[in-house]
Amino acid sequence: MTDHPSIATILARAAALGTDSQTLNAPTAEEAQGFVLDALAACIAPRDLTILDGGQPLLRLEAAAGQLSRLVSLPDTAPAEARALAGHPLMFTDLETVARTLARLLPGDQQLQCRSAPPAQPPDPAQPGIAVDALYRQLGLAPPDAVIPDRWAYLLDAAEEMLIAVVEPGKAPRQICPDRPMTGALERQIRTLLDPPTPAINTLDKNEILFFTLASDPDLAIGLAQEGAHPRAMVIEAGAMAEVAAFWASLAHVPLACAR
Amino acid sequence: MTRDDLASFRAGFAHCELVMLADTSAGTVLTFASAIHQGQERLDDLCTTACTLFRSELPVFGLAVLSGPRGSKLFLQSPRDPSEVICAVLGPRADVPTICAALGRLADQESVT
Repeated sequence: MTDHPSIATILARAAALGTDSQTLNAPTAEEAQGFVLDALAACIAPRDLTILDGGQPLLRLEAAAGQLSRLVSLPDTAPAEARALAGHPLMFTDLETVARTLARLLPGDQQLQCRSAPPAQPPDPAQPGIAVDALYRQLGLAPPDAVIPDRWAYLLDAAEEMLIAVVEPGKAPRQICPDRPMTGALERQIRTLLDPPTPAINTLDKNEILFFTLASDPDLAIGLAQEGAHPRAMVIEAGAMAEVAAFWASLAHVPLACAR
Repeated sequence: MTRDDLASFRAGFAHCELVMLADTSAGTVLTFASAIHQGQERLDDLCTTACTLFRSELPVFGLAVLSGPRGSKLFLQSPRDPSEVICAVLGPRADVPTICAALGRLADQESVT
C-alpha cells in the first residue's frame, strides 16, 4: 500500500464500497455534479465511465490521471457544441462547453450511478484533456478539503443544536447547552482522556473522530478527535451520535457549493 | 450469532463492507461476513480496536463509532455478553444512523435467542 494519502483513500473507498457500483440520490445540482467530478477525479488509470440516471445511461466519459480526456457519448439533450466534441480528445479550451454540458445534464433530483470499465483504446498522452480541478472551479464547486480548513470548527458549527459541551486542552470547558450542565465527574473523565498518552487517541487516524456512550451517563456521548498534536472532545446527546459521526465521514467527499 | 446472521445483515446495506463478531475477553474473531475478501490482518486490527475500546481504562459502554474520510466503523457490545462486540465497517456514504439502529436490533435478537 502506498503512503500517498489520496491513493490510499481512493483504494480504501473502493474496498469499502465492495464490488457494487456507487449509487447516489442527488437532490441538488451541486451533489449531482460533484458525484460525477468525484468519479472522474478518482480515475488514476484510464477509465471509461458510464453515468446512469435512474438506471438508464445518461453519458459516457473517459478519464485518466485526474483529467477528463474525452466525452464518449452524450444524450440529445446536451448542447450541440458539446455533441460535436464527442469522441474527440478534449482540450482546455473546451472547458466552458464541457462545464455547461455537465450543468445541463446534471440539474439534481437524480439517482446517479457510475459504472467503470477500461477504455477501448488508451487515451493519447499528447492530449491530456481538462483537469477535473478546473471543472470544479468552473461549476462553482470545490472539494471540502479546499474550503473547510478547520473541520473541527466546521463540525461544531453544524452540530451546535446537539452540542452539550466542548473541551479543548489548555482551555476551560465551554458549556454550550445550559440545560444540561456537565458534571465535575464527567469533566474530569474527559480531561483524563485528553491527557496523552491515551489508548483512545492512539486508535485515531488523521481526520478521524471517535464517539462513544458512557456507562456513567448512557444519555451522553463523548466525541474525541485529534487535529495536529491537540486532542479535543465534545459532549453530545447519545441519540445524535450516529448522525454526527455520519456527517463527519461525509465531509471528506461531498462537494460543497462555494462562491466562484 | 452465526456467519449467516451476519451475512444477511450485511446484505441489507449496500455500503456495509464487513460485519464481524469479536470476543474481546480472548481477543479473537468469532465469525465475520464481508463483501470482498478480507485479510486476517484487517480482522485482527478491528478486533484490537474493539478490545482497546471496551477493555481498557476508557469509559466506553454500549456503542462506539469511529468515523473518518474512509467511512465509519461501528462497535456494539452484545447485551447478553458485553465481552462480545459486533463490529461493522461502512463506506463513506453509508446511512450510519439506520445501520446503527439495525445493528442494535441484531444484538437484541441475539440476546433473546
